[in-house]
Amino acid sequence: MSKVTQAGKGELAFAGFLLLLGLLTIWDTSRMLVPDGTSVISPQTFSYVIGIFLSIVSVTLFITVLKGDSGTPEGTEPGDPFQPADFATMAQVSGAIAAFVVLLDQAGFIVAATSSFFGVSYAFGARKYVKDFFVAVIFAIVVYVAFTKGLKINLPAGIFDGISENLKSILPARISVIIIGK
Amino acid sequence: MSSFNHLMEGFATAFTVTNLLYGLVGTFLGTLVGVLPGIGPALAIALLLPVTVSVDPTAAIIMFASIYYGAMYGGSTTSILLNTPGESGSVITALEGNKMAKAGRAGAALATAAIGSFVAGTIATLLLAFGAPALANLALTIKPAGYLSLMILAFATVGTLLGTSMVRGLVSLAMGLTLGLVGADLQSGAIRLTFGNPNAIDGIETVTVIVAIFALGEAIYLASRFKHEDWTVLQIKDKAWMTKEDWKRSWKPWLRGTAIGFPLGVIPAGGSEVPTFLSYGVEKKLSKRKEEFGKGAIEGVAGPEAANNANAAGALVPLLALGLPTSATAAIVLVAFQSFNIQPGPMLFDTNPLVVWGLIASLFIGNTLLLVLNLPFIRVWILLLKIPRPYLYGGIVSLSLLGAYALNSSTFDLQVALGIALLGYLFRRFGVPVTPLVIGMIMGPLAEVQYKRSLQISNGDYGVLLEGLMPKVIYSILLLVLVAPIVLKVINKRKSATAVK
Repeated sequence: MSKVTQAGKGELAFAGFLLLLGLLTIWDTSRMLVPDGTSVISPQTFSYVIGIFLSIVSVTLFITVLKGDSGTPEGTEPGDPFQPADFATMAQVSGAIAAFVVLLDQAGFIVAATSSFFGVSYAFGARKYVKDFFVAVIFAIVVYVAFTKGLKINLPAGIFDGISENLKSILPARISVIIIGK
Repeated sequence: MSSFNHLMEGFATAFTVTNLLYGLVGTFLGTLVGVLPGIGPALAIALLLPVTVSVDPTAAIIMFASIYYGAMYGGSTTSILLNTPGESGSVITALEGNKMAKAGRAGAALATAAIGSFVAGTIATLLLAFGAPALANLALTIKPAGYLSLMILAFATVGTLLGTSMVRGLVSLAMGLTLGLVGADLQSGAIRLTFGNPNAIDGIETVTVIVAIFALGEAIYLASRFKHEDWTVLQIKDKAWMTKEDWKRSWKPWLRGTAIGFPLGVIPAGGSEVPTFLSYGVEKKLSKRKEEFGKGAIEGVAGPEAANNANAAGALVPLLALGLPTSATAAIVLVAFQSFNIQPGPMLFDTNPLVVWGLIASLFIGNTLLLVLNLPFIRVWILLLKIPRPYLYGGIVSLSLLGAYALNSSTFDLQVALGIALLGYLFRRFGVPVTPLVIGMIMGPLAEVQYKRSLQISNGDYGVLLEGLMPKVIYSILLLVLVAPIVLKVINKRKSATAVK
């Protein structure tokens, strides 16, 4: 065990997780409901093979790491001093991604994209909050309009739902044509 | 009709105003996204897939061809000026080209990369136009068991050749195969690995996985070792053109690079990593100025860049003729085809001649457009590199999330993206290559189809899997390659043991 470094311990956990996934696949296959009429070629064989394959390679990875060969990210040399991960920044980026996932359905694309853009740029060191916020909002609106109007791909409007109709009633017809189209 | 006539018809398809316009838009978008640091061709195509949802298939496939080449051009620009290769095929370009740029020869490096890509791309596309139909004809005689053996060969090479460690490549492959299992089995309707989630019955969307693993996982990884420092974008001090001397030193590497890159794209050699390194090695060996290598030798940019492009075209041969993707980028092109219900394979040339020949013709057109557009406008593209890093990442992450969502307008896809992003981080952190995952996920279900077809023909007799010449030869080779190193190791150990005695 002495050969396993701090980073190696993380990789052991990673290999363990993969092994669990492999065993899960085997277990899921064993309780699979096989529809009638497929007696000749079972849909289970292929899943079993893959589940077993995943389990075997995870165990092999586990042993490889135990022997002291822990993985290094591409672009760094095995001898490089390893810097511990910056978990705070990582959490910010992951959080910004998660926020998008949650906000998209609840609040719509513009809010979701603004928050993910702002969150990620904050994590990567943007600190002029007012400017950053406006850049994020403009980015979100431009992408929203390009996709919904230009490519006809529907994105959730969320809290802005129906705003284009409201605009029509508030603004003079000519201006609303410029903004909304039609 | 001969390939030549078909090709002419393809040009007729591609040369309509609308299709030409889509080609132009594709080259533009491809370059635009490819120039952005950290975005390789596979991710570029995945991100731009939603753009083509409302376009008709022929135009969309033409657009993809242009995006494919465009992203590769854009990628080499970034590699040279910023030293951030977006994919493994550009690593060498980044290495040698960036040194040239530092020595004030950025213009020459960009020019030899662009012209070399054009030369290699044109020759390789020509080979593709005549090679792919021939291979497709041959492939019509391959039985399902033969296909299965070919796919297993591709799995083995992709899994073991990529990255630094064999076991990690196989881990990635196994993970991809597992992801490919999720959902309802096409033939029996049996449901796998959904754990009661009705959204998962349709399976996991490949585009979502590609976007999540290449863009989101990478962003989290970059965040984990983020240092608050800015990039230095190297300036182009000279003209983006080559001197007579540069031409003289470049044309042979271009041709040699093409000769190395194309065949290695056709066979499943695991993408563009091997051919570019090989080309670099060859140029270094043949050069009279070995001392310049590693300090900015133009041959070291010209050869690998040509190899990279020829390799990309070569990878289209098995993709179009057999339906087998051999690189991450080819895999995503396959997904693009599938999203239009076009299944590449031996029948493609008969069932969709307009699409496939239009595609090949537009590869020629796109390649030429890129040369004309990019070299003179290189300074415009470089402006993209000046986007502040925080905004760049903010934009890439947000666009990737949009790409993960927009294809099916599905929130479930986004949840998958979040999970795969974290997996992508772990892969990146522990040096596990991602290409085998992508290939495994896309080809796993295809392999299962071939497996079932063989057994249906034989009525459940497993012996059919070894019937015929092809499976026998392929499995023997695999066995030899896998077992031989172990045997050699044992023999060596014995030898050293007796030597000690």
